[in-house]
Amino acid sequence: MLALPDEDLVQRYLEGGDQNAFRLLLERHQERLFGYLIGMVRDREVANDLFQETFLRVVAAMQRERATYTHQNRWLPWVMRIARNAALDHLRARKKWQDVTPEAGTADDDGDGFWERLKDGDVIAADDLMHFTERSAFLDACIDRLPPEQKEVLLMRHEAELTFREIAELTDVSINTALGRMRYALLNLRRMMVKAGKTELTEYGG
Amino acid sequence: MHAALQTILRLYREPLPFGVPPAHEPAEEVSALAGVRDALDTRPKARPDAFVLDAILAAAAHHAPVGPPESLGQRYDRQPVPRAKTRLRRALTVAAAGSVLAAFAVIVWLPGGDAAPALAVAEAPVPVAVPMSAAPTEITTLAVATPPTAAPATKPIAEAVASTHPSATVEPSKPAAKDVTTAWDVPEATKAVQIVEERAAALSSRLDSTLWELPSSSSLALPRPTGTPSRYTQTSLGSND
Repeated sequence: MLALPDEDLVQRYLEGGDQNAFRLLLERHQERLFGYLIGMVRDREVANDLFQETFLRVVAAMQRERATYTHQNRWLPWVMRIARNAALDHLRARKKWQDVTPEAGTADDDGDGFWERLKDGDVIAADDLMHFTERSAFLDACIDRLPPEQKEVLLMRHEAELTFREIAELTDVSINTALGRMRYALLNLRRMMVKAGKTELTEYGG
Repeated sequence: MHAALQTILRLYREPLPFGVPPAHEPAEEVSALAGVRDALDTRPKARPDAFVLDAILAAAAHHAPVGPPESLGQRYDRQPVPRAKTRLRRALTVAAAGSVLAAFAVIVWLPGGDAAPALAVAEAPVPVAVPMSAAPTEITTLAVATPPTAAPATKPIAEAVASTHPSATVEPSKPAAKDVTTAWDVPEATKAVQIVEERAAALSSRLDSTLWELPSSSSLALPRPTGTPSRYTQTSLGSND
């Protein structure tokens, strides 16, 4: 059963209520979806909540639309759309909450990290980066500083491992736009690394 | 498609769109972007907490589809019923069925005391004045119609008949169980049958309305039918007073 494609597993769950099939689907894609969600919201607890909410919606929709379910062939993009909507809803709600909170973003705001409190600009002081001993933390911080549309495409490609065509459909843009956003995302990341003195990160492949 | 966009597709090993000729890619940019891509790929993958997965799997098991998929029409026809209301209906159904059975049993057995009225009546002497064609056929129905103040079924019914119908001939020593129903006056028997039928219909309609129209907060008690004889009130129905 491990080798079965998503389509077959979805069909097994829909037709016979096969719990193992659903478990396999969940385990197979948990890292993709959770990586995307945690990259979007930058909070593990919130990402857990959104991940659970996403799959509860998935289960309910699959049960509700059993007779007319048509996403067997594109199950992951369908789930990604639900996850994306959940993440965007959360971000909108958080932004609304921050807009009406006068003290948001001040020193009392423990929910945001160092990078959220930085002013606009690409220059990242090397001294400040000493807080981030791990390379992944630095990369995460850089990704979080990307414009939202570039960040989303990058997360969908690297975390969710969607194709650019799927990303374009999911975000309702042309494939050229999705590719352009990805290109700018990579260029901006490289620029941040260079200015932060972390060029060794990019020497891995080039 | 622009060459820079083709670079991205090639970087992620995705095919070019059909009909798009490959363009020249600047080597420096390809190298730089590949370095960033590889750095991103080395990041550790995050997983959700175990309790989250457990909660999802529990939900999936709870909502697991069983049986053939229902059609759209079936889905829209289906109305959700609160679980509490379902339990109430089930309890009411059981209670009502038990009450009906108990009432029926009491009606049949109580008037005769320690013996079945049908058997007692069967041992009664036979009057001969009433024609057989006019007699009711259901002997238990006649027993139901017996007023509570009437003589016990073990007392020969012929005596009571004789008191109300002096012209009837009573022969106590002649047993004839098959003709016992002729001991009843036809109008009385008909009236008794009507009474029983009316009460049965009233009870049935009351049960129906109780089962399907009661709010979920209602108690399980069934209201006592109005005008019910005291014999009814001694049964399970009367216990709700």
